[in-house]
Amino acid sequence: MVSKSNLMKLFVRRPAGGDAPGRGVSAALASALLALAASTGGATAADSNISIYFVGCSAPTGFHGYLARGAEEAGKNLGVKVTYIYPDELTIPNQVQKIEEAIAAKANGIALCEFAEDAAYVDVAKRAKEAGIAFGSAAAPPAGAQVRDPNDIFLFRTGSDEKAAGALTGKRLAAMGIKGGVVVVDQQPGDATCRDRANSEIDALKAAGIKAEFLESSMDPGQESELVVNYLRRNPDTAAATSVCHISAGLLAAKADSGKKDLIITGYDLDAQALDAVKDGRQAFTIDQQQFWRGYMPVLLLTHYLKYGLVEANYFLTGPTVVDKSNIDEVAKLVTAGYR
Amino acid sequence: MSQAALSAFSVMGDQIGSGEPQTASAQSLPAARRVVYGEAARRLLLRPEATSVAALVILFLIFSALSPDLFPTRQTFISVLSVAAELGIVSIGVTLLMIGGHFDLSVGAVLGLTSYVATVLMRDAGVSPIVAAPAAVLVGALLGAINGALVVRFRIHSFVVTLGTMLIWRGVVIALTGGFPIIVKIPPLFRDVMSGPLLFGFRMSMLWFFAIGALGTFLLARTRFGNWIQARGQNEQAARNLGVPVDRVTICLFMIASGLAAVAGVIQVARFASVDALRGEGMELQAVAVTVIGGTLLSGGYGSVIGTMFGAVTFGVIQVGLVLAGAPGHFFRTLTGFIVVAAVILNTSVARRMARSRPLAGFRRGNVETDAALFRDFDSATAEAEVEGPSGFSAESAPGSRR
Repeated sequence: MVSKSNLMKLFVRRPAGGDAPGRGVSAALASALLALAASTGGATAADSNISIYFVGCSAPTGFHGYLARGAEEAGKNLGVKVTYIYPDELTIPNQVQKIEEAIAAKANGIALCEFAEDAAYVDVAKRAKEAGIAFGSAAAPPAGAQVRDPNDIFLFRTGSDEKAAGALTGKRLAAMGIKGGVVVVDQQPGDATCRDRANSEIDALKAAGIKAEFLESSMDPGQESELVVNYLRRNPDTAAATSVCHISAGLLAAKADSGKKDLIITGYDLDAQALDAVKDGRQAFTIDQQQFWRGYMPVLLLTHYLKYGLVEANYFLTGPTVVDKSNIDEVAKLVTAGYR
Repeated sequence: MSQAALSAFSVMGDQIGSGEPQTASAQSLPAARRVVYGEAARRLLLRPEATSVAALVILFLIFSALSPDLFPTRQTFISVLSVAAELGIVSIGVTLLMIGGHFDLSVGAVLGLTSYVATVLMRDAGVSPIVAAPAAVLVGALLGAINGALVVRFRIHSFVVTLGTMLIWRGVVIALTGGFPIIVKIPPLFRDVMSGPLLFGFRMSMLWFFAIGALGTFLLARTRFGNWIQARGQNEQAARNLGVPVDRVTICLFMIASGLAAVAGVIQVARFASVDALRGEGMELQAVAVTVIGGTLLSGGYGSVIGTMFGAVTFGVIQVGLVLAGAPGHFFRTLTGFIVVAAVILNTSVARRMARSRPLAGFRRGNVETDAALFRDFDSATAEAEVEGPSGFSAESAPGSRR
């Protein structure tokens, strides 16, 4: 078993001359050793003492179930103890309370499913730092940020860039050469993620010279369906209806009820309904953020920081990626296996 | 039209058609007619559902003016009734419960959970929809019975009990669905019977809505159980003293409310061939809003199922009307909220005014015979007054004018 200090030497030691021939060899060796350690579950006694708390946004079901599963699998592979905790109701005080519980439990590292502005976590991040606890975010970096800010309260950020996701939807629609406007439907007004996606999509569409309008809707598919049907009556030149949240039953029903067979429907995330609709062509594509990675990577990054002092220079983007008819079958297998 | 108004018109009709020679009484017919019509209108406005009709008419006119080409059309009515039917079915149960003096915040979660039950029975157990749908409704009624039993047994306010069960049922749905939509293949016949556009484009859910509305009205207005509901809502202790089985009524009301939420859930499953973890979320508050728009008092003891039906249609008109009028998408919920509040303000202010109003010229609320007798009294008094002079015609001068 390779000791921690030897591995550290491999990573830390750099030849002064820059592109020295030995550097590539060292990196390759380090990678091989790390892969070996991971694949054999080769945790040292010290590794198994590493305790990481994953403070989630909600119960480990559905979307968040993938995060929890990713964190759990990373824990198994790396031989560290992972505990998934979450607030009963997702509010800032409730989530901060959970972080404080993790601090009180003397965690070595905390990964946070961040859902609010950084300002909400500044104090608790400071307390974690004072307690010697590594603190990272399992959520996207600020839009457009690629390189880690040295003053960032989080050691790392792993997630999908939601503004990029919205822009991707807009650009994709533009590339499809749609003839007509786009209605951007938000079933969860007030959700910052959905709003970011909507705003950036509208901006991208407008930049491409396509008319785009935002429409507040509700979670009820019946009401949403009638809303969109009547929007289409008022705006018969509408070519696409995009959902910025993951529920699209109302949009699919509106497409059927309005008789507008050429209406392009798009949405977010992968679920049975989206898979089915993309497969049979009712939905053009869905935007995926590979949420398994949002659980796996924070545990990996925390573990490597705790073991080797490694800090990623870039933020780690898990998405956005497009799933459409061309790759739906491959992706569907991964969904079934629980990795997407 | 109310029975009182009908009686007033019948008395007037008797007079007009009597064929008797012109007398002082007959000469007063125009004045009497005004009084009779006025009183009929007053009595109509006293009904709980009257003001929701007024709100509906006002909104209809506003949206027709804002969108004259699109709003007053059959397609709009189809959309409005589609929204109204699903929400209205839930609201009818909530209305009966509120008249009985209780709240149910769990109906949205019950809708979600029973939708899940129906979906899983059809998808995983291979059960026919003909069995799965009633089974889901039975589960709904059972969940309602649990609510009712908790309220009755522990004497906790229904608001608190159903707040708790709402969280429980919603948590169960989230856990069971894994947070994601579950899809199911629905036989076309079942889909059409539950919500297909078979009625000249109107959805079958509208038929269920009307049928349930008629049953609810009959239950409330024509049965002993309806009297018990109102008695329970007005004064629980007095109802108990009078021998009303208050606890049984309470449990039954919760069963009806949750059972109807399940019916709405089954209709949605049939239409969308799916259920998701958040199905029905927020519907409990929409149902309360619809019920209040329909003239039912939050304090209980007074209300109308027909009013709630008009309230649901009003809600549908607001939703569809705003889109067709081109309301800004970012303020859609805000505008909906404003209009709902305005409709309730209109309702309550008109209802208060009407409650303070006095019967016109000798009329008072009563049965046909009493009204007829009062009309005769009024008629003779008017004739006497006319002999004395026109200034003598007043409510105060007419016998029986005081309530």
